[in-house]
Amino acid sequence: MKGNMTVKKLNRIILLVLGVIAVILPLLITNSYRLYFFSFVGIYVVAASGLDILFGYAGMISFGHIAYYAIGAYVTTLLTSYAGLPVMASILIAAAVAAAAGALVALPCSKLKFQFLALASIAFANFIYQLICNIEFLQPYRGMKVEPLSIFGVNLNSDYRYTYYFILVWVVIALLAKHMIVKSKIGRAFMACRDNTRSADGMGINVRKYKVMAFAISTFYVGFAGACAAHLNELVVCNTYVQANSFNYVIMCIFGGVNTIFGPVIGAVVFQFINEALASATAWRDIIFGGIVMLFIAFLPGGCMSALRGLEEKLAARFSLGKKEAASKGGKKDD
Amino acid sequence: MIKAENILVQFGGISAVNHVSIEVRKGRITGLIGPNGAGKTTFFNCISGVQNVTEGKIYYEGKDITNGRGFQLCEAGIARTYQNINLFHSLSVLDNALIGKHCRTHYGFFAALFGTPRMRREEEKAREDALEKLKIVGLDHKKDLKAGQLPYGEQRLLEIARALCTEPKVLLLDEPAAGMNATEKVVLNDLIKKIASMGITVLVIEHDMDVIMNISDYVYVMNDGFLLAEGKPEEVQRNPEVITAYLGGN
Ligand SMILES: Nc1ncnc2c1ncn2[C@@H]1O[C@H](COP(=O)(O)OP(=O)(O)OP(=O)(O)O)[C@@H](O)[C@H]1O
Ligand SMILES: [Mg+2]
Repeated sequence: MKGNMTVKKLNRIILLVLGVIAVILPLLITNSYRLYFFSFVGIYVVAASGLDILFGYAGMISFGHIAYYAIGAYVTTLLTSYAGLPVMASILIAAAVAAAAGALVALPCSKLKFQFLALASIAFANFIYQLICNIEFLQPYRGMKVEPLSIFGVNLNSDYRYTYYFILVWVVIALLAKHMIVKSKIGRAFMACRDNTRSADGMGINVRKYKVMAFAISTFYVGFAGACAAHLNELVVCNTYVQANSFNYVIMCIFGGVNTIFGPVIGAVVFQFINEALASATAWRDIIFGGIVMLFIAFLPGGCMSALRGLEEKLAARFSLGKKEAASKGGKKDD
Repeated sequence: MIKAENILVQFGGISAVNHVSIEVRKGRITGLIGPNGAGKTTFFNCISGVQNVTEGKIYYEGKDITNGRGFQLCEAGIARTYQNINLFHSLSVLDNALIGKHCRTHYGFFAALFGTPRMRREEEKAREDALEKLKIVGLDHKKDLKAGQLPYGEQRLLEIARALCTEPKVLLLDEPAAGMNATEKVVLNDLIKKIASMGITVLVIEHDMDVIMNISDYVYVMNDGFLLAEGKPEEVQRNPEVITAYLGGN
């Protein structure tokens, strides 16, 4: 029990440090491209967290989540450009549309076994991609202009510090929401369906309902991320949404560690850094990501989080041991 | 409480359960015995919504529940344990029990999202009750262990605790003593009697004649898909057909 307490304390400290870094980052970095880059990291944190709800918690896979990212992006583009909706409202509606699409896909797919679900998700992503590429109106290849990220009519992109903070706030909301969901009866139902469908059913859990729900929540996150990204880039181009890009989210989850709040955060951050460092060497990038994924699956299936946990527990053990020793020495002196 | 009439279950050409009628009376411990492959588990699966029947009807408290869905039957008050342990292995003992509380914990998605007072109240209630059920089977001190880390016998007990968490009116136990040693079996017998004394109707499958004779009020014997005999334990024990089936089976 005591060890547990120390782990919790350590967690708090790590969380605090990371939080402080995230908050003061724009003070340390003035280069506006870097801030744009970090805003993107935030967007990927949201997307990867969304995939984790499906993959890590509910035990379903999707290799097609880019489709919902695309739906979020194009829906918000159309809503702001043609219906004149405020950007924030439009982003939320776009995310809801992505979630509805996710639920619709999940309805027939929730009965599929893991590997067939993977295939179905790839097919769906290709379908959406081809759809986008073939609708002339969306100017798929030339790209379509998107309104800048703004709230209450203030253009945030005019200074990427604002953009960064806007995204940061939503990252925190997204992580808090995920935390609330996964520790509730809903999260437990997801994990029950993941571990054992048959006895989940026997325990009064409507397996189908919760699978669809996990899909909808997951795609809401990804749709939200896609919509934010569109307003951040101020442009949507079809080749952003090729099915293969879905693997990015999967890599982030595997790398950081699924079934955790902070795994996908770590995964997204590291992924984006590697991606950026190797931006000019795309072949190398793919080889490295491929290698990383294989190594992680083989040697560290729990991702960075499981390694961190192990480290933490060791540290915690050492701390509490040190304290005990100190205490006993103190006692001896008194004698 | 539960009345199964003329149940027929066929897999391809084989009849795993062949026109079996069984009645589980309220407040009693009913035993279901029979040699390997007799169709006991298949029959259980029908009652608990895992397996559809080919023919026949099942009534629960007078209502027709034939081919009902598992989660709905659980909500209606039929809970079960499994012969091949079906725990949520990667989750803690407490979480397993809490999942049992699923359909008795009432709050929705948005309540969970915002952590409303109602959600917290319901969670607190579920937790207390889950711990109480773990205490009944004697696993409360292991609540933070992963279910998969428990020894075999305790996994069976956890299955029972988890089933109790669903607040069942009828509890179906599929070979709860399998893999247990003699002392564990004694504890289990007392536990089953205790559950019955809590007002829960029990239907228990068991291989072990001694166990079934010790705890049950009424016994059904299946063999090869057919219902071979039924009656009070001492009657069934004396039944020559049952003796042959068992000796032949072994
Ligand atoms: N899903 C299935 N598909 C095909 N045959 C099945 C299936 N389930 C059970 N059977 C067959 O039905 C028969 C009855 O099996 P069942 O598991 O109900 O027996 P049992 O009485 O529980 O036996 P045991 O004491 O070994 O648990 C067996 O011959 C089995 O092979
Ligand atoms: Mg059986």
